[in-house]
Amino acid sequence: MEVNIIIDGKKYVANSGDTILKAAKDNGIEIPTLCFLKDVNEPASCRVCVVEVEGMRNLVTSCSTKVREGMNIKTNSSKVLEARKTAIELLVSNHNKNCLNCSKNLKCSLQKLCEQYHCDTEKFAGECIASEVDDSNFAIVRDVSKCILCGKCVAVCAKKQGCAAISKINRGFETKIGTAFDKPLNESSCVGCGQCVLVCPTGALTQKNDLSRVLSILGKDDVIKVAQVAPAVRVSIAEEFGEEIGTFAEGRMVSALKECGFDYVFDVNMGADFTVIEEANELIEKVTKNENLPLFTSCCPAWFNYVQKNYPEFEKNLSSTKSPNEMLGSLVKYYFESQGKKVEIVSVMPCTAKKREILARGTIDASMTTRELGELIKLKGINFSKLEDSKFDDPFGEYTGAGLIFGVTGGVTEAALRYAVYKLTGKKQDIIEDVRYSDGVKEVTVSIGDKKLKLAIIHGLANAPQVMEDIKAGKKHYDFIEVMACPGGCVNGGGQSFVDYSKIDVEEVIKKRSAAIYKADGDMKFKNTDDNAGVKKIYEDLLHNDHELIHKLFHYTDTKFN
Amino acid sequence: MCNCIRLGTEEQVSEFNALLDEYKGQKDNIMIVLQKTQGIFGYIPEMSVKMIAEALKIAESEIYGIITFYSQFTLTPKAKYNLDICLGTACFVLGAQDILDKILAKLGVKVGEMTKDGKWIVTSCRCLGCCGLAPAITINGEVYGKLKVEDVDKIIDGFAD
Repeated sequence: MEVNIIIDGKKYVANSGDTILKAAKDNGIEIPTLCFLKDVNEPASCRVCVVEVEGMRNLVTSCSTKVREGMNIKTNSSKVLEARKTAIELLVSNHNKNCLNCSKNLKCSLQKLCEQYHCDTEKFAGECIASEVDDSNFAIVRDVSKCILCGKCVAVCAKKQGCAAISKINRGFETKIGTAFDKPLNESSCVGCGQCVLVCPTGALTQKNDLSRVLSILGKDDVIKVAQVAPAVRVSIAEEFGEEIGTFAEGRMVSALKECGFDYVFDVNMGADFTVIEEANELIEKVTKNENLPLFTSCCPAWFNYVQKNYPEFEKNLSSTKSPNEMLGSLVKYYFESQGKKVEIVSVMPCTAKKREILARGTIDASMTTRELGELIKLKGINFSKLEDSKFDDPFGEYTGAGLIFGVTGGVTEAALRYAVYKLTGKKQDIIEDVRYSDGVKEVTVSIGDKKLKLAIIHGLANAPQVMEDIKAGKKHYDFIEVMACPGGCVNGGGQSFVDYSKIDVEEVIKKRSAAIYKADGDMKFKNTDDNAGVKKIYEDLLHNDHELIHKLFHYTDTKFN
Repeated sequence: MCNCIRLGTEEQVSEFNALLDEYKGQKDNIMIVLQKTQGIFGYIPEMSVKMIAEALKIAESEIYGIITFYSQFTLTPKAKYNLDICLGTACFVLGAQDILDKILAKLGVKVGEMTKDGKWIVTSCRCLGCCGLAPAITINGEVYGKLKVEDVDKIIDGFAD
């Protein structure tokens, strides 16, 4: 049912179930929020979204008040602005205001609101929360003194990621976000996915910054400096420079990395093409032998970590095929070192958990997130928007659409299916819509020749436990399960550019970045890994089809990940 | 269940296991379970939180949040004898601090810390409501008044078991 409302003197039509916030947003009217995260965290506690409604005695929170027929709403009256100002001043009253030294400086929602509402940050001067930095985790740094207790991190960790590593603990002024028994984060159920970092409006949750490590590599004269970039980074990096969400900026990204001082810029998409071949073969082998099924993808390090922490009995089901990142890293090292050259590799990932993967595996020398790459480009004084396009370097720059779509949920499955269908039936099927984004768990049965394969695709770790329990109880059988820890897959990874969720919902962000990936895939001449001539050349010319060598380079020899 | 050994006595553990069985999967009854757990052990042991989390299907962090929110819950074990010393005005001017120092020295602990044998915890309070008996202490609720430093040895040694 529709209702007629007035916002700031103009007439609009809204859906009767919608909140004032939603109705305003749908009509391009901005209302600030700090604690609101659609469907995940809606406690109406920060009070910065208040609006005035004619006939109501007090201001109401627009995030929790539904529209009614004839409602007359004022979103920017003097009364509203004054109330918001006070709410913000109260929020910063006990806040650690060392903004210049904060890694969220100029990217902080609280800081932006202080500026927008001309807040006096010392108006309610009093006791501040003591700084307590927890950097025990491999990727995530917490500082409770910068926390405004909005609760978004807690909600996302429990509801979307199923980890519930953190919660609100203690009471009154002592209230803070903490782990069970207030232990360091690395002793909790945290898997390092970084979703909490994405939603944190302040600098309370940030990622470990490896820029100084990258700079020291770039400062070396006696090594070959390689950068390798994951599929999803190219649809987010431009956002670091104020461009539209989901801008495909592959060419400029390569140019920027070259200008930063890397000798070679390689594409993890090609690593993904290798992963497709190895993982498809692994699947065919396991299905034929009916051994350790289902086969779980293992390219997502947060998922890998999650299995080890929560379902160790399924470790043997994790694919031994290396992640595209590790795959390419091993190849690059082998390629240069077999020529007697020294090489150091920096991988650029949409991911915070990759920082752990590279530490555990020891092949790649540093891993930075999309955000860190943005910082590096700015630090180097490169004008990103003015850059010309460049191409990835040979011999690890050639990729197919199959490698590219690893960046979205369902991508690994679709890529593997494109390849497996062709290998087993000789038919090339380029688009397999069935496995693409859907809410929750997607189950698909595919027939390849006379074989029927039961697949499941999971994104958002909170969707995993039900599937795992069903398998354990023998209620369900699957042959292959793809899991990406982050909702939407790597396009919405914990290392991607920050987005202002008061302006755009997470689902929209996922949609935009995924669309950019699928558009590029659609435009590609080759969409099937089998068509990657570069991959074939490497199997033949570099690795001489030496099975032992291939296995050593492309597969994990153990499942240890710590 | 080797972990249970660290939880408490055999009776306590079996009572606790029965409690978990009774409330298995009942997330909404977390308060009751925590209250009963504290009833069994005298406090809420860390290990019990892990087991409650598993049985009731609630995250450990969330349970910890609840425990630290309500002052009725305690995570520190209770000693056999809780000695509470009054440091209110009347007791203080009549030498309560000297008595406290003596007690702490004798037991070898700080305020709030349990003796290694689990027998004693010393806490202090602002008034016991019996200023006429100053300086006063209570041991498991029983009042000992008009104390002198010399009395401390005798009183504590009286709990030799």
